[in-house]
Amino acid sequence: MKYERAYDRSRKGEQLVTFRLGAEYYGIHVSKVREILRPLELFPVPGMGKDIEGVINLRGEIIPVAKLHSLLGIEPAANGDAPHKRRMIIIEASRGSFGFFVDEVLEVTRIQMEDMQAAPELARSAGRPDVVTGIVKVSGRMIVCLNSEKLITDDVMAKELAIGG
Amino acid sequence: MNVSDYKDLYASEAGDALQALENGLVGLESATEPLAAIHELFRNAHNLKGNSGAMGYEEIVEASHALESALDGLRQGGEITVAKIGCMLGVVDILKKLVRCAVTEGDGSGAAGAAGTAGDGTGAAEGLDARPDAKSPLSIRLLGEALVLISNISDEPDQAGPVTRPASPPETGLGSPEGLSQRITSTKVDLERLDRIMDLVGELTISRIRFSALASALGSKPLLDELALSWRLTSQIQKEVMEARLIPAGQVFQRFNRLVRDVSHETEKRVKFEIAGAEIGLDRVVLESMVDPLVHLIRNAIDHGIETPPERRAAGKPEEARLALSARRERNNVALEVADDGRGIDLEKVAHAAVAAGIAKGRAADLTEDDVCRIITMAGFSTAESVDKLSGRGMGMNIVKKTVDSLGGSMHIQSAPGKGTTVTLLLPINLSIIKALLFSVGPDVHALPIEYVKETSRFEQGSLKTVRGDLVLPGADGVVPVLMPDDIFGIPFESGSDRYAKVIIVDTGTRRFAVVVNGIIGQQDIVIKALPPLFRGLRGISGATVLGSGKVAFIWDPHILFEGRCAYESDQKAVVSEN
Repeated sequence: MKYERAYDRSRKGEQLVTFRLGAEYYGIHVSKVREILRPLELFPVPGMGKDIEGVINLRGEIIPVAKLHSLLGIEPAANGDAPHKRRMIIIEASRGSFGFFVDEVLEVTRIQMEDMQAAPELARSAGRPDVVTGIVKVSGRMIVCLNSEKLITDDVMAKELAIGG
Repeated sequence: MNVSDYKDLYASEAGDALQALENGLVGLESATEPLAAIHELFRNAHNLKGNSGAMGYEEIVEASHALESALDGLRQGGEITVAKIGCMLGVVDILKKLVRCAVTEGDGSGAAGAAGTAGDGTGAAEGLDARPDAKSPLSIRLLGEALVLISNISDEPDQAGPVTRPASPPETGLGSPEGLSQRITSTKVDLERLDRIMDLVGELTISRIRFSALASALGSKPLLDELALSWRLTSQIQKEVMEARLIPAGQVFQRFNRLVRDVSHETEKRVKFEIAGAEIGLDRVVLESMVDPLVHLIRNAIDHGIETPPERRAAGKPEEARLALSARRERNNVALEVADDGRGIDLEKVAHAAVAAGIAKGRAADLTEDDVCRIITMAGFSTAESVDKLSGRGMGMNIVKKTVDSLGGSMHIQSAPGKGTTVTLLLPINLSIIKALLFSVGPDVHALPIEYVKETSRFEQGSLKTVRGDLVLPGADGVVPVLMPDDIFGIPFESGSDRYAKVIIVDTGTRRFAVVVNGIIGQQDIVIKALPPLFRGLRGISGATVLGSGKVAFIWDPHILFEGRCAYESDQKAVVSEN
């Protein structure tokens, strides 16, 4: 799948924000990340399904917070992580901003597109193969690159909203 | 806003349109893409025509229509010549005068109106509104000039010539050149900018609430006094900005002239369409979302409500039916009304059909007029074909009602057999700040618009009764069905160990129910924030607000909350009698 390149052509490569969820490492294109925050108070939305955890009040703006593991179709990580490392990543998507919790934000790293490999079938999320754009190795870690636009789709929202009705 | 404000608005818009026409025509002489320019000119002429039509300025409508036709000729490939442009500019000048006549008339009509001889050209023309038959000689004369100019365009052989205005308009004493000496009395503000100001005022209100919480905690008298002043100022700003954001209903109403004409032609009915209250201001969002419901109501009225001329004659009514679309202010609401003098809804037939379709229980004769109107707007009923045929008013009424409900408004239908039907939509004037009752469920705060709150109450734990498996709360005037938050939204609810449980009695106008909550926080002005775009389609929640504490509270929409719980509703009578 083609990775979007919309910035910084002066140096080769793409920049990823990398983070950890449970034992897995993920990356999202830096241009899609609006903000990285320490966790804010979360307000559950009445009638929402399991993929949306609630909303936060980001300086007066109300932003939905999704459960990333649920969107990826993986089991939630066992607790026991250092809570002070938890962060919230706010994504700027064409359908509107949303956020999710991660266990740790690692770094903003530059990768070469030619280093990106197609994800092996196993690494792809169950039922959501389009979410994963590929896999890249950075400082000894396998980073699963995510397409932030595909994380929350119409289908996901339709399912979420249907539960409330 | 009153009629003269509306006139001001018209004058300002007409002025803009004419200015654009003038600039466009002048630019057309050297335009690189003449077709786009002509299209733009056409649009401006068309707008002017529409706005003038809404105000009832017939001469302006005719003159701008003539201009439109001339432009259309160019659009169809007619050659653009300097002479033609000159003629059209002449028409624009005349239009300016006509507009000025129109907006100044009435202001001084007491002096000039009596004799109807305002031919001295001072612009003090007789009031068209007051006596539509007696046209002002000046405006008639001007219209004549405009039409002559336009006729030049089509007849005259195309010729290139110097850039002059071949048919310079005769002096009418209004001063020339037109428009140069006009005073600027109003300005146009981008609606987006007004919305941003509104947002900021909202933030100011939130900060005001936080301040006052702090001041109360400190208990400082001077600080509280000072804050009280700043409260008043903030409220005033809020009020002014909100007024500024309102848009006159006429901007939408004028679109219906055409609809009425077309539909009545289609159905071969004679309809006199009347518009009232065009100057009443409404929130843009409210007004925009009312277009489709009004189209539906008007169509319905002509299609089904109004009889054919022979039928009307037979019923002893004038052949020409009356259809009125009006707006009026009722405290914090605006009432939009579509009234016809047609055959009315046959309540008896609707009631029978509803009982037959299983929508209503009990005997048809037991249903009140209110019940019947409620049935008409009920989901599911609208598709009941037999009823639709009988009443002709089933289809789509449910959608009208839903739209009105989603804006926090209400819908009322009055109908008298043989005399006509009036549908009233009661809508909030603005949608940005509302009074709401805040309450808590678990650790979270929620809000309910105050107009739905009948009362707050409490009951002893365990005193709830069950009727047919549904919880009900016995009250002074019958029993009220009880909803638990976990029933409604799946919010986990712990009633606590207190002896009494708290309850809000919600009244949607048509239905009543009791919601059990953990705590009642109180009434507050809240600033409605739009839900995130991703939540579009979320049901039962009409918006959210950020409280002084920074907490987000969701605003419940009681109409939706009760939907699908009609069992309670239709059983209510049975329940009452059982008790």
